[in-house]
Amino acid sequence: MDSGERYRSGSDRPLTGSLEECRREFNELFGETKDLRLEELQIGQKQAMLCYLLTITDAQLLTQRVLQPIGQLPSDQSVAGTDELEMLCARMLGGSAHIIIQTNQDAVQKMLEGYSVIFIEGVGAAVAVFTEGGGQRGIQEPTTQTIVKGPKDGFVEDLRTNLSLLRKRIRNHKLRIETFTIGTDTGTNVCLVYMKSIANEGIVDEARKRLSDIHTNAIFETGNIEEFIADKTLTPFPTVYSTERPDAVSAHLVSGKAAILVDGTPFAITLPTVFNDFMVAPEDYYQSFLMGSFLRFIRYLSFMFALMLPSLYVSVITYHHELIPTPLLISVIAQREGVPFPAVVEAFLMEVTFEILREAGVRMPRAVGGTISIVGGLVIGQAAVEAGIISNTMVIVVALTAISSFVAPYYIFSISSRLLRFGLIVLGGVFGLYGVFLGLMVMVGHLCSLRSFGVPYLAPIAPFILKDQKDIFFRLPVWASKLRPQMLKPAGAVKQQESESPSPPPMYPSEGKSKRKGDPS
Amino acid sequence: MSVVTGMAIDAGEIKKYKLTVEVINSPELNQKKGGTAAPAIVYWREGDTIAELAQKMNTGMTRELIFSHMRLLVISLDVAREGLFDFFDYMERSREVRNDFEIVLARKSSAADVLQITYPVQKVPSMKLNTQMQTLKEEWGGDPDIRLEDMVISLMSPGREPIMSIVRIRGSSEQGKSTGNMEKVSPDAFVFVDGLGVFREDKYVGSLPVEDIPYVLLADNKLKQTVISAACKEGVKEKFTVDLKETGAKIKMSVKNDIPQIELSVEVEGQLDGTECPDDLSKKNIYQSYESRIETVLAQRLKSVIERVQSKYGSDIFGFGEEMNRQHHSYFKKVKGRWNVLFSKAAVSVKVNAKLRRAGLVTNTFKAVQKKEG
Repeated sequence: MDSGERYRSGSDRPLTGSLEECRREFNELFGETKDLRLEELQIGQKQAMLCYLLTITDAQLLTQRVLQPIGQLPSDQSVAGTDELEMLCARMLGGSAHIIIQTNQDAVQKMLEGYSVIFIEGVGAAVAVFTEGGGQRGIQEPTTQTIVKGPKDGFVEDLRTNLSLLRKRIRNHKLRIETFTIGTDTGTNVCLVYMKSIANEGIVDEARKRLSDIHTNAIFETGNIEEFIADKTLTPFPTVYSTERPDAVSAHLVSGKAAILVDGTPFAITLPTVFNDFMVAPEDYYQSFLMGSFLRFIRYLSFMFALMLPSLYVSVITYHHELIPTPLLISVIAQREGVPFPAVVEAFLMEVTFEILREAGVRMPRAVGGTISIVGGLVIGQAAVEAGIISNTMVIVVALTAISSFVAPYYIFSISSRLLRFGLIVLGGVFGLYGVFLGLMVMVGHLCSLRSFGVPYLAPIAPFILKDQKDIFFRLPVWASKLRPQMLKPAGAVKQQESESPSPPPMYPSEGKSKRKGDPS
Repeated sequence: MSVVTGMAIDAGEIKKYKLTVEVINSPELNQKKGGTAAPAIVYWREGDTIAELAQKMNTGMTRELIFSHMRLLVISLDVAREGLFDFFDYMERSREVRNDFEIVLARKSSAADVLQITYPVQKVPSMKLNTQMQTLKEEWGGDPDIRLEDMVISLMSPGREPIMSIVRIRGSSEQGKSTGNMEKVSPDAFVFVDGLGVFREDKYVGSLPVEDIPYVLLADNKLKQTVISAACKEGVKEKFTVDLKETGAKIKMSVKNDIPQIELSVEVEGQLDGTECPDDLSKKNIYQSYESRIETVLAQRLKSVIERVQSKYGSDIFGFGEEMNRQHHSYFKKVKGRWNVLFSKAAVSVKVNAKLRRAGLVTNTFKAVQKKEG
């Protein structure tokens, strides 16, 4: 399924069978590029030409799949026409991915995808054998979404490896993978993955349509795709979920979502996405449901902290002193004594400093990593307080805010609270709590208006869906939720019909004194 | 900004009022940087209305004053005699002033002086006094815990008259105002609770001694806990002391020949705190006799307090009128204009049911053991 406008390079006339013509055309197309290999071969009685790009070809595969089988052919093997070629390929290349191509144009594309193409003198077709190689990283633990208990593998930059990670998790014929080639300059392979008859057809169609509609020159990361396919809304909240964990993607797939994987990046995106998805870590499901539920509560709390704490502090200190218990107020005032700025300026100063430190920490070369913590810790934590520029309480507030913003299981989600925080600080400084809550109301209104592929962003809370509440604020035991998320309107709604946790057996089951409910009699 | 923790209202020399505010010197209260400088700053000004004066305090003070953390309001007896209505409206109306501060009367000194007596532990005078009153209420029932709202309710209610704790300065109030007071083991001046002010309408009419406060509270069913001592037997000098942990009072009102009948039935439950008598505490009948001793003494004291208030002040500080209003509404409606007169004539009967539940760590007193073993 080609997006269409790429490679109008090479002629789309059927192959004539002239090796000279091919050679000329390839040399013209690829020019002086060093990694183009056009090698002469002898197949039976015929002259043949093996074409491949050295840089993306695995020499071992090439030998195994192409050169060895050809070498084993009897010397009187005749390859006269297309039919005979097909038969030969079926015999010779059985088990290796190969494809018969008819035009030069296809040959070029296959070569760019890592195939080796064999032309045979006088045959109006060629055969492309998959021999892709080239450098790739091994499967490693994901770096952005770490967990304690659970699978430790993460996606890599290679699309095939990533797909295999999914296939190995979901051994089900319903798993469908559709390929798109996007980017007129890069021709990147993009895969749409979903579970047939589980995912909602409408959502998959929409994703397919949006992917086909992408007209761009280059795709390097799912982030590029994300901006093309996300609904056209100005929002700080992400409307697709991007992750480098295959277990998270698999879980999303079986719950009725679709995933998009891009060659060249370890990040996959899943869609549609709702607000609550960002409060869920895969680990929630790998440990006790009590702990899982507790951690969700902590995450919502931290999200609120990260969003509101500085603005609440500013507005209470500036306007609503009566809300603070007297001893605390006294100690806060005592600390603020001598601080030259109003609380709102102080908060801004600290938050901006923190954002600078954070950005520096991310961008800085690893080797100088230690510097930032020393300088940052000293500058923010100690020197600023001792110099009387900011108060101790402000440091506590900013530190708690910062720590809270790192709790989000999905790192990118914290950008929303990071951005909105500044707006709320200004509102708090100008209008007090009144302003902060006005801001929050606008934010909630905005959240209500968001859609991700047609699914309301705040579902299943607004609109309220009772059946989905088993896995939102609390994670009930796995056996308790019998349906897939109804907010996604899945084609197959039932997840597990008759699931129940076992009641305890009699103390010594072998003696069989008492019968449990549901035991076969 | 400056946090106002206390206010004192005295009668002015030229104008009607003299308002004193106490603001905290917050750096001084910082645990790390705090030193020996004054923990609070006091400034006064005279004027005709408290509302106006509260806004004028920056004539002498630097920062914006925050009244929302006010902990104490001290009123001098002179002002209390004149009436409280005039400035309580401001207190209630003001957005900033909360209604949960302690209100006390100052006896034998100006109200402003009370705001200035320092104390080594809780350095800010009004916060010290606030905590002191709270603890006193919890531990012994020595403070009626009157807040602005209670004051306003009792000022408005025809069946209840206001009360207020009275504080006094012991020692030299001049020396008590210096930070040197905080450096001494025995401070030069102390602010202590000295009694209960009785009001009629909004005017101060007299006081009760501090010993009576728990009984006033008990009659009003507001007592948390207190302690009581009684002679072990009729006519014996040795006493035993009981901690009354649970207290409750029920009031039954009735009218006979236009004379209100007040039947107060009190239930108390306590534990033995100490005894001077060699009674054998392992015997049930000793407990029973102690219980009946408590009943007698408690009933006596309750009755005496109520009767004293009846005869001396004729002011229903116990809220019996409210009870009458609840139980005999139509009757009370007729007499509410002259309730205080009826109250002073009312017949009071007190019934006490005391239970002695526990006796601390030891069962028997060593005196009893000594006596048994000869």
